[in-house]
Amino acid sequence: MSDRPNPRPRRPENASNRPNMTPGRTMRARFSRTGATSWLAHLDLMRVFERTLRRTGLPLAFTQGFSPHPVMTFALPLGVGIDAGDDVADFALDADIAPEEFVGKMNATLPEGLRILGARIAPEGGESLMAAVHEASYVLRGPGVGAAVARLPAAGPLPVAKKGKEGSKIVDVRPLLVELAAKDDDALEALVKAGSRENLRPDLLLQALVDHAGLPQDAADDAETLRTALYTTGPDGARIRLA
Amino acid sequence: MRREGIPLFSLESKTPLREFDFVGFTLQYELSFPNVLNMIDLGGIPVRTADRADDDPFVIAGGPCAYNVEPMADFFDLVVMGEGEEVLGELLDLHGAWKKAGKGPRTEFLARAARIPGIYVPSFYEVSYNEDGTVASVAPNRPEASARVLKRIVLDLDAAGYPEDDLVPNLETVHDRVFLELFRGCIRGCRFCQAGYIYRPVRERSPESLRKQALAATAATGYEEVGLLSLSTSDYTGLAELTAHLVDDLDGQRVNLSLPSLRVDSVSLELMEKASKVRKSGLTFAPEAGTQRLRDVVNKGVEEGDLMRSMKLAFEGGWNGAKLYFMLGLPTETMEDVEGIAALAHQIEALWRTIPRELRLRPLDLNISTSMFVPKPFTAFQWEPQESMDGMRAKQQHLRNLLRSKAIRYQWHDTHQSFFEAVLARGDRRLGAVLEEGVKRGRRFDSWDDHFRLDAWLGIMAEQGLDPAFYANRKRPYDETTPWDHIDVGVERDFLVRESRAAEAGETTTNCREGCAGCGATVFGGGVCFE
Ligand code: SF4
Repeated sequence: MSDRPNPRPRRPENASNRPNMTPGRTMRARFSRTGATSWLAHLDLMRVFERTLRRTGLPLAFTQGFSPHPVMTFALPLGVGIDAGDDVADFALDADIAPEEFVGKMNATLPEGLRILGARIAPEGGESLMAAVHEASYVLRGPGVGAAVARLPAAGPLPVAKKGKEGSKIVDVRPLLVELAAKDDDALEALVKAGSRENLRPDLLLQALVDHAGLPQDAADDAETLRTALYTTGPDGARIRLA
Repeated sequence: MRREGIPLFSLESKTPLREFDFVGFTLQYELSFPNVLNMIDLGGIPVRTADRADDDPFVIAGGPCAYNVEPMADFFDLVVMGEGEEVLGELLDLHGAWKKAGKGPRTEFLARAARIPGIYVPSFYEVSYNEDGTVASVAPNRPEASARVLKRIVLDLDAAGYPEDDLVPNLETVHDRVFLELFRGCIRGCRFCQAGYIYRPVRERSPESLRKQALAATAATGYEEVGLLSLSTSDYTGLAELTAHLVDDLDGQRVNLSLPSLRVDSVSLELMEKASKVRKSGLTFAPEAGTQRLRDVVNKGVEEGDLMRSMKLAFEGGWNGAKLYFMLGLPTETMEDVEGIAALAHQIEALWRTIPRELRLRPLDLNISTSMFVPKPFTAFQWEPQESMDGMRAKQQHLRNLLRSKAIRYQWHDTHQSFFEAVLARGDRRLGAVLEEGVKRGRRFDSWDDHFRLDAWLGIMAEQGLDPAFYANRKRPYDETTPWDHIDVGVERDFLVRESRAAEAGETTTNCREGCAGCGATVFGGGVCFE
């Protein structure tokens, strides 16, 4: 359609710094996702939350413009196929609502696979939810995934090819890796850098195990990925679980 | 799926198709027939009704292409003619009772179902052919089957209800919004248009019930957009009343109202402005033919003056283009009519130059699109031959040469697909074996032009001694028995003959609101015929 003076934004935009994101009325919610909903891309997940919010009948704050969307911010996008054990998102409301009411209405309305684990009123001021994310923890599971950890060189760079829109580039996984340990032969636990400044995608960690620890490619491709938690850094430099 | 031994299953409960009591298909488009066969087979159900066992599901169909379902007659246990709201309930009640009574042979159930008005059981009819290949007769071979099956309709749409708590997909899909069905049928009577005949008579929903439905449905689904559905939105008598309230109602809920293409006049432009605030959606027009003579032949009540006035209004209102739909190969069309399409486009281009400069913020963008005329059953043109593919390609080429302007984009539709669509649309039961063989040889997704292979289909037809031109390109006499003569959509054959003759004479027919043309749809006892 050539004759649209203002092309409409196709997707709800992440709106952490919109003027109508009233701090005192923003609900910070912890949520999990499993099963079929884990295969949703980030934008589809946002759409599911948007429609759920609309169905709850809760008083929502909307973006301005001719295609209004509820104002919401996800701490860190979830890749396709990744389960979430305890992720965090902010939802802006237009009236004072008790966190219990929010949790109850959302869980009564969300599709199978998505659950709100808890909610509280987001703290006023301070940095945005997205900027607060510094680290993320994952459990990766697949045949031999845990056993491969011991074969990974203890030090030195771990280059892997990261495919992007403009070809692939080489990324060193090592500085992005905070902690890595085998749970058992077929699973590992990892704490990695996450957020807008530095971020390690779990598939790149698996690729490092393929390239540097002899994990079969199939095992990496088919591994189950669960993001267990997100972390921020406290004033004293301590690691604090985002919630 | 075949390699892994996974049967086709339902989306929500992941149940294999063969475990259902019924498997239903909506037949929207002839070229989807091969996909339907492939789905039945993938679902682990024998493709032919004759091969199904008592515990196999009943495979049923409905939709616009069900009115001439003959090419698919061997594959459906039963077909619902017309609107499903009431019939489906009756069918399911019957099935429930039959199941409770311990079931029995499937023909037993079909015999009972055949007594429900509107239900057609193809296997209960015997087709015989003349030596020249035309149909001699289609006659019931069981007492339960009636000689003619009259379609079912719902007279009071407000009472019929409408699903408000629709399934909401987790992924973006087509038609991803709440739909309000304004009315069924169309008053206009364009002679090529199957929808215009088979959905008669026009029945409207009231603005109040639509408004209520819009609010209930958006609350239940969380959709952020509401669309309006009908064959010709501008003909909805309650449009002004509905939209006056709806725009404000939905605005309060931060829900968008998306408007379909409307007949362009000052009222509708204002409405479009209001509904979409700043956003200007594309304008579409469907003059269908390039000259007034041919537009009269097809009874398309659009005059050149109307079109130019609309375009002028639109240009002055800030639009810089439109999309115009035409058909090539309409009965009696000559090269002069084709040139008329180009002439119209150039006239619009000239009009654009007369618009004050300050209103022409962007360059003109005119989109001309042609599809191929496909004669359809239950229309005034059901006896007409389709033009040969060579003839249609020559017309496309000619038009391409005439539309060389930078401001005009010309899009055309593949002749191969239209040709096979014409074969199937007026086909008979002998085409069933062709479809079955095609699917066996891997034909599918034929409505996608990159998957469609006409030569493969023509090869199979040749092997089976069938001539595609017999179906597509032959002028059929009025007194020939058609493969669909035993189906009754309420529009009388005599009326279609009258319309066909009027077309030949270039005479137009009034629309249902200007004056009833006596098509026969009064048999349903309601709708626009009794307003
Ligand atoms: S009977 Fe008359 S008013 Fe009714 S649908 Fe036919 S032409 Fe229209």
